[in-house]
Amino acid sequence: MKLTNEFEVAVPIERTWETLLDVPRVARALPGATIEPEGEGGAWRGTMKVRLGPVTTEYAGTARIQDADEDDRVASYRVEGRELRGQGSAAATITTRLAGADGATRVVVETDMQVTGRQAQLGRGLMEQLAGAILDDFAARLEQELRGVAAPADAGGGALDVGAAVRGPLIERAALVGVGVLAGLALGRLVWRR
Amino acid sequence: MGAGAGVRAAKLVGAPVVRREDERILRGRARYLDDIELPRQAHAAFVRSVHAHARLTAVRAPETAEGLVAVFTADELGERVRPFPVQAPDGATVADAGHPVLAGEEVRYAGQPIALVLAESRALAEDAAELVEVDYEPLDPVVDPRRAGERLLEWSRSSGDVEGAFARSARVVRGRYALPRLVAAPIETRGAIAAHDPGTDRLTVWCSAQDPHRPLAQLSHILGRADDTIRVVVPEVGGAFGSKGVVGAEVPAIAVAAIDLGRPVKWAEDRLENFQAAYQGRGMDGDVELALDREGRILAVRARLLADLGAYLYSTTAIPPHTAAMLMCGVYDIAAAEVELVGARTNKVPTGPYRGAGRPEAAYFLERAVDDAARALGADPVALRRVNLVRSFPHDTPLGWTYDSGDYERCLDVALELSAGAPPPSGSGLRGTGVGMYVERAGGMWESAEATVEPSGRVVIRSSSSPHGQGHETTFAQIAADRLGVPIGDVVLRFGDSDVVPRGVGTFASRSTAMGGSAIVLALDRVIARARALAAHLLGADVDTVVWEDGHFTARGGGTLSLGDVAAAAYQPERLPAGTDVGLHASARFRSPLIFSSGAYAATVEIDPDTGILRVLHVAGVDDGGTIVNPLLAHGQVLGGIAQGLGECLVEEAVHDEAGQLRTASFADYSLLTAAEMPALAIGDVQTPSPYNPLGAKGLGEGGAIGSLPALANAVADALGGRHVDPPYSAEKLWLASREAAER
Repeated sequence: MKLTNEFEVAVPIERTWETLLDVPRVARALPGATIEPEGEGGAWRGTMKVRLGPVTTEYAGTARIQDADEDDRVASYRVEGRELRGQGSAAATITTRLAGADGATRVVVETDMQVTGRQAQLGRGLMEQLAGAILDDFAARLEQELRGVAAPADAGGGALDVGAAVRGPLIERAALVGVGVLAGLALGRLVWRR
Repeated sequence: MGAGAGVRAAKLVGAPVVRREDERILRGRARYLDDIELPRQAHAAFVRSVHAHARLTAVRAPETAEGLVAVFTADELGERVRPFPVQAPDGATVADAGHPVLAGEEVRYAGQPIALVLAESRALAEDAAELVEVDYEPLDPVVDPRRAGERLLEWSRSSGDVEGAFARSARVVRGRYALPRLVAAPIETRGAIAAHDPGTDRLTVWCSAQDPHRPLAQLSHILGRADDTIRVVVPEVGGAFGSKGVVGAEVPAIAVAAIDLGRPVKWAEDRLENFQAAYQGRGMDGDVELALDREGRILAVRARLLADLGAYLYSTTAIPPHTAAMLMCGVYDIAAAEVELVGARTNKVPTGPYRGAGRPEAAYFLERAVDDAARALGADPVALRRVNLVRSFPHDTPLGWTYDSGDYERCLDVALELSAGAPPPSGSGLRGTGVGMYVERAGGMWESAEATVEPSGRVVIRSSSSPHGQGHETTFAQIAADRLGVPIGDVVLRFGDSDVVPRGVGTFASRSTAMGGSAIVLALDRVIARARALAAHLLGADVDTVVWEDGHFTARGGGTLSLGDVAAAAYQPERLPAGTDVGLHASARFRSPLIFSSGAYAATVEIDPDTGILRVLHVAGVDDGGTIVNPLLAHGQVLGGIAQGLGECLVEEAVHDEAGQLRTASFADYSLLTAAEMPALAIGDVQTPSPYNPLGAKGLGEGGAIGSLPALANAVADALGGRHVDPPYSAEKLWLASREAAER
């Protein structure tokens, strides 16, 4: 699953570049993520919680800078995690490309993500929307981080609640399930009364 | 007492007797696999691969978990299991790639079982399974069968002067047609319970299966145990549609666990497991070329079929593609044919038989090509078919099968008559009509039955054919009651327990009535012959002078005994002639060559050009399943088949993403048709008896699912001005195609 986000910050390209090579700062922009104070051998351990409706999935894993090309201002990160409880996993290669102009920086974030396990089978479209919501939030928070505005504290017990972003399709599904339950109850009652 | 009880003999075959089994099913009194509870049973959950392709570097079981009983991996199973046995179709080369029981060093599809976790309840087993840690090294998955490097199946056949036919033809028509993978989606998902008696070393496996003896043979091979040390019991089964002809890899795993633990083990899968790990159907492409002369005669057919077989071979994975390949001449008298079949290895759950099992694929490929040919020649598709239909039987196809009987043109005529009932055009939609014809391989091999007339006069029949929704308990009883002249209520059927029923083949390929029914006829005829000899003795008459009629033996010189009278005497040794066995029973095995059902379907559709939404207005289905034992049940089979064919056309598709993850793993994403989408149907039949069995039956368990597909596909193409679109016919696909059609 490949996703692209773009934004511009009024920060010079050099400062943006330095910030992007600071893994804890980038991780801070990742919603629902916590990171251990120091990484070992270039790999930073951390966790990330994602909440979708009543289901919270917590991933534990590592983040590392995979490649940093100072000349072209292209950096890529590898993030790998697996569910703390469950068999699923998530892995992403996040590539950021910077372009400077008049003291501002244009940031293009390309994410190539693989999700396995139950989260991968949420259904057609839902996973993409979930990932899109995470990355939209990540880009927005990264932008704030670059501007020097501290990212807001996580709501919902430190978990990213993506329910709002995917509410449309979820409500549709919930409505279908609701109708099914009602029909089931009605039928159950009919049978019960016999 | 079921309806129809008390109805007298010689009127039942051909009568619309209502299903005797429905009362217990509708009242919730039927006993399915998950209703069975054995003392001390442990419950199974499986850790399944989350990757479509990966090397397994470690599997770590939790030290403790609530209610945890044991964890088994491939290491624990060790040498005690072998991969699944694989059936190679005639002339085919199949790879040594039988499905492993649990994954060893490599996983090849998402959902493949890696570890078996046993706990005191299914919920606890699922919780404990989440604690099993699996280390994967992901490998690149093969999702597109056209990019597969490995072949699991190869087969080809060429007969007649194919090259010459193409060289001298007036017109060559080519097309590529594809059917996606589908899931069988039975209401009751898969499951089994294994229990072992260490004293006798007997393994008993209750299994939601299509029949007992195929699971028994599969388990015997996989576990390396002699047949007689295994007993398979099939309880009531809530649908299979082909998907329960081979036990899942999970079943031998729980069998080993039951032996090791000395406790019964139950595995009753949930819907997600059924989507991920039960073998899927279809998943086949066909490149078809027809060579035609100026009069529209098909001189030769050339086809290349590509089947997306998945990661491993289950026992019957190679069968549907081979059936499709062998049927590539369809209902047509074509002198030359060349068919090549490749089964590609991909990182998906294996495929296997699903209602029709190769027949819908063949009918879809060929019938779409015939309609494309008619369009290319500017001919009427019905007229083009008439020119080419097989008209004399037996008919040998160039691919090597012999059609036993049929009247293909009559099927076509009746279907066209029935399609006159389609509603008139709405005026706004793109209207299309289409016909589709098919020939179905049915019967073949053998089946067995044992019949006993009890001293009470009641008749107990043990059949190796086994029901899972078809209504055997009714149709077989009709056959028996007619043959013996007893009330249908006095006929009792026993199925499904390998300790009770004689060894047989099983229920698939629309074969139950022709094969299982005929075995009953043979067994009953032997019972009657023995009873006649006994009646002659009791009446003091010469056996040749005793007439059997309407359930009674009458001596020419006078005196009459009912079958019940004779049966009562048969259990009293002092009344028997010297040297005669006590009791009244007989067994029989019935063998037959393949037999071929056929049919013609006509569909009327409308596509809304603004939205692309397809409305199926009318489907007329005509099947020739030979002699019909029960028209009510026969039409029920056809109706159900049409519903599945419509589902395939309208909504059903198992979708895998580029990483090989199944994206349609629940009914929220994998739709099934509801009654709301069912169009007006007109069902008719043509009955040309098969010469190969005493009933004249052929079979139509699958006809509806076979014939409806090409008829609808041709109607859709007709509505789109000849543009080809593969199912499922989503609004998006049809909207785009209708725009392209309008622009031309």
